[in-house]
Amino acid sequence: MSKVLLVDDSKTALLMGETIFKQHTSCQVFTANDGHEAVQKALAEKPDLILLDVVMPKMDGFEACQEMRKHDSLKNVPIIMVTSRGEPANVANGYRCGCNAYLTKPINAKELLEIVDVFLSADDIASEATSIAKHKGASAVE
Amino acid sequence: MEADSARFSRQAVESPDDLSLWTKLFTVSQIMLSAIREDKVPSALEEICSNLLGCERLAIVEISHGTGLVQFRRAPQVSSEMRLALADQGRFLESQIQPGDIRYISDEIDDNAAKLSQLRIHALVPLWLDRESSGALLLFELLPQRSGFDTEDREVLRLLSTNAGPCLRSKLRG
Repeated sequence: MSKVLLVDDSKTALLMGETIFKQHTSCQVFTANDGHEAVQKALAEKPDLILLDVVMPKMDGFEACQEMRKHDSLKNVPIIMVTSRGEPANVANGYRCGCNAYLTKPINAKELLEIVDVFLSADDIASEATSIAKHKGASAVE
Repeated sequence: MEADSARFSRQAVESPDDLSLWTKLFTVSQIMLSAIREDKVPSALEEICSNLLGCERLAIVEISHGTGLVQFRRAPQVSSEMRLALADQGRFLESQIQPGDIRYISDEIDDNAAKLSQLRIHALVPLWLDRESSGALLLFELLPQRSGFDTEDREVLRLLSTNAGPCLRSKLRG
């Protein structure tokens, strides 16, 4: 069973993400409310995928991503940045910090599952969700 | 609201296309229930609009019947100039609140839509309480990646229109 770490300072965004994962995948979901907590939880839980909001208190998503990449155990964990700011400069900054893919808010369940399908094993994704993802395809940097 | 969740759950299993909609409606219901318990309904509405609709500038207003007096319950990032302009148009805003009717400016080309557009309102969502309007949720500009409100957004706003009013008043009523 894959582990997914969802990081966002918004309860709404976290609940939306948790609901999507719990309903449509077999992944074990962990959450964190800021960048600092995200780094700590990532080191402790060793997730297989991290969804990281950008604008957060204490430590933003860019900093958290950079911090995670400093640790051997997190160097190769796929990180998807999630943000309301989809301007090219922000996206480029995300990739510079070491993220693998970028999603803009508001999150759409289908889009999220499509991109998750790229990074997680098919066993983790419910058949219905997988078929949706394969139908539409997803763009990501591996 | 729990009944709403169950209804949407049944709908969701019928079509994969409902996946995203069901998840959003479920999330809204749960967040609103939690917000009532924590007495944080206005900030929950702000979060929902920001995270699920891509609208970071909104106002929750109460509009007094007859006088059109506008009271701002929450209006993050709404400038004092905008507040004044809205307050000046209280009677007009009150006249735009119609039962079962959310006003989407992009859908309309009449004079009233033009006036709402001048006030930079993208959508006017009436908030209902015991079949009477208790005010409105005014949604201003959307994030750059959003071009308007799609079908899912409109379902979310319909849910808020019927449930946010009672949620906002829940503490007063115990």
